[in-house]
Amino acid sequence: MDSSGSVPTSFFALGSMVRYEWQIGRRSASWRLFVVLSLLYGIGIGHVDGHGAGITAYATGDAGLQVLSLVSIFWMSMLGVRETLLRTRTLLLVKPQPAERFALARFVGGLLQVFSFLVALFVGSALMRLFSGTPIGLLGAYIPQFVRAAMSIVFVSCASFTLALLSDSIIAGMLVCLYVVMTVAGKSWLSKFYDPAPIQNGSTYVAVGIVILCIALSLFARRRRGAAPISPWLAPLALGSLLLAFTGFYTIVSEGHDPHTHSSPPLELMGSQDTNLGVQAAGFLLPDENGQQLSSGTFDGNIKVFALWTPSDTDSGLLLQHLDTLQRKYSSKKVQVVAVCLSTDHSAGPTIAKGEGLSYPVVTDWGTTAVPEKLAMSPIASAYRTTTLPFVVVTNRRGRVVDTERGSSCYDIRFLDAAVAHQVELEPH
Amino acid sequence: MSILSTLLEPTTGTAIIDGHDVRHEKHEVRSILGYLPQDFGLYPVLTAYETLDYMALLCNLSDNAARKERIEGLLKRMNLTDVRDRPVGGFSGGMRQRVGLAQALLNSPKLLIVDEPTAGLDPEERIRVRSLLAELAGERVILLSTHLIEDVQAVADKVGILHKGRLRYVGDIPGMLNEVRGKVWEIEATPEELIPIRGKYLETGLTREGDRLRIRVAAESVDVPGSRQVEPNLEDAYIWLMREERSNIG
Repeated sequence: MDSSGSVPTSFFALGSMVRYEWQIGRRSASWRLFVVLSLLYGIGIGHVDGHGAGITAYATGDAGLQVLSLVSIFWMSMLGVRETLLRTRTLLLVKPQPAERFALARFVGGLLQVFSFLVALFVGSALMRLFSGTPIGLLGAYIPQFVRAAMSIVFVSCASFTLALLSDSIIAGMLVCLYVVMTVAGKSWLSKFYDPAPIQNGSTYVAVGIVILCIALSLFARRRRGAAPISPWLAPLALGSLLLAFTGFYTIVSEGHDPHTHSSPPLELMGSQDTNLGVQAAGFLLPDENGQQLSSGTFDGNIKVFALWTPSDTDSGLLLQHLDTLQRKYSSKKVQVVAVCLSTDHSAGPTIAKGEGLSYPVVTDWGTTAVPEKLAMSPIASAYRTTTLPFVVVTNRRGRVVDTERGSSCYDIRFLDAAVAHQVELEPH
Repeated sequence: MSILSTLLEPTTGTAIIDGHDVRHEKHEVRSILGYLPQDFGLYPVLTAYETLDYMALLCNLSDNAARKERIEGLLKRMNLTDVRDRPVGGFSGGMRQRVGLAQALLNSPKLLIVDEPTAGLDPEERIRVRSLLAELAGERVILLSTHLIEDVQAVADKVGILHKGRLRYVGDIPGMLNEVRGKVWEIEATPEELIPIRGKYLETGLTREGDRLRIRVAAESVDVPGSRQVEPNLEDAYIWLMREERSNIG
């Protein structure tokens, strides 16, 4: 037994305590129910004919963010008040362990439990893709989406656990739902940095979550500590996370493109172009699925097909498959397809490009915002003066726009094929 | 109880346990303290062994072998070995109470505080818990809070009677009986006479014998024909010591 006379600081017990916390949750009927429901939900998402793993991976990530975030808030709120509900609080608080350590063990155990729901969701979805014949190599697309959902879940878990623990009220913990609803409903008028869902915001929100959790650990049963000092790891962890959070937000704002906060001059310039039939197609310099900057001029001399699409459009998978067919059919005739992904989340384009095994590059317009008007949605949409998505532009070998397809006609490969075939006939290689 | 177990901060004053101030040396106090609250819960999905293992971790029992030995010893002592691998959610009240007692003993406390440990238990379990407490009292100081006189009689060397936060009596059991010796009377009466007797004297007990009642009262003197002085018991002493000062009874 530790009888050093001061609050013990070693972490020898934390692992074992987390193991018990995990067991307490894992053996409950509600945990089993949520795991089964998550698995079935994942199977439902993964059971989509004709797609690779990209579209389903992204949809699974979205489901994890939207549905499991709410489940996590509920779960962690319950966990925050568990000792009161079970009347175990007195037994715990009278033990010599520092309060912050068993609160941390409870949080980590709870987080493992909600992560198990996320794992079940992704496993269900990925298994269905495998059964549908998707090559196992394409399932790597699930990894960034898992990370994206997990980071958001860490943030909401920290916040809801903290509120419930400190106020000893489930309702207080559930208030975090309001933030999630606000970021979903307020996408068009809130600055992008408020949203923990995009992968580029994830690590910052994890840092914010850790800061919030450190506050909980510091304040929980504070009087119980008496004259004993707070655990020495807590302050550096809180300050380090706070620094990371500030740095993260500064980077998101200063290096991002968002009409509410800061505009990127190159993207402003890109958006100020004006493309119409017969004129030079708007140029761009945007990151592709591998993070390499890709310029519209890279494929000069080719007949170019630029396709503007958004992953929020559930039929975009069909367009991407048609474009893949075109790319394979006409690549020998120097035709190059480039898909431009309009999404506030920077992982959408790479996930879908890799998961669908596309034969052409997919660039991401990282200046995209979630406004409903397509013209104002992104610099590239503005440059092409499009009010409808998807939007496909065909250029001649000199880069002038010779044809456009928009909306539902993009889903019919005959229109797309006819436009490209006509141009190939006019300008054979 | 809450102040002594470091759960509540005293508004004034303090308490010293084995030389440690409960206000400023909470960790030290917790290290030598075992506490069984009156109202407590356990994690229903954990087995008896797991419950004690988890609590032992909270007591900073770091050595796995020593912890296992300690838990096995306590399970045996509490007669829980047969159910060690059963979830405590399915335990009876008495079994739960014994698990509670075992968790309070994990750190071999110098002071064991038990709050109403036999409340709500069936007679068999009550005797079992009471015997355990009597056995444990040989090794450590036990502070037992109870409203059940039999518990006190069975295990206590020293008794304190608290009334509205103030000590009415501190001493041993013979001394407590002496407080009321010569003041306990037994009155034989009809049911019709009961109400006036109750209004006049402090009743400590009543038994029925056919149509007659045998009423036990505590008073300096009794002027009812047929009344006789009897030997006091602890219930008489308790009720006498707990009487309201301003009452005109007795």
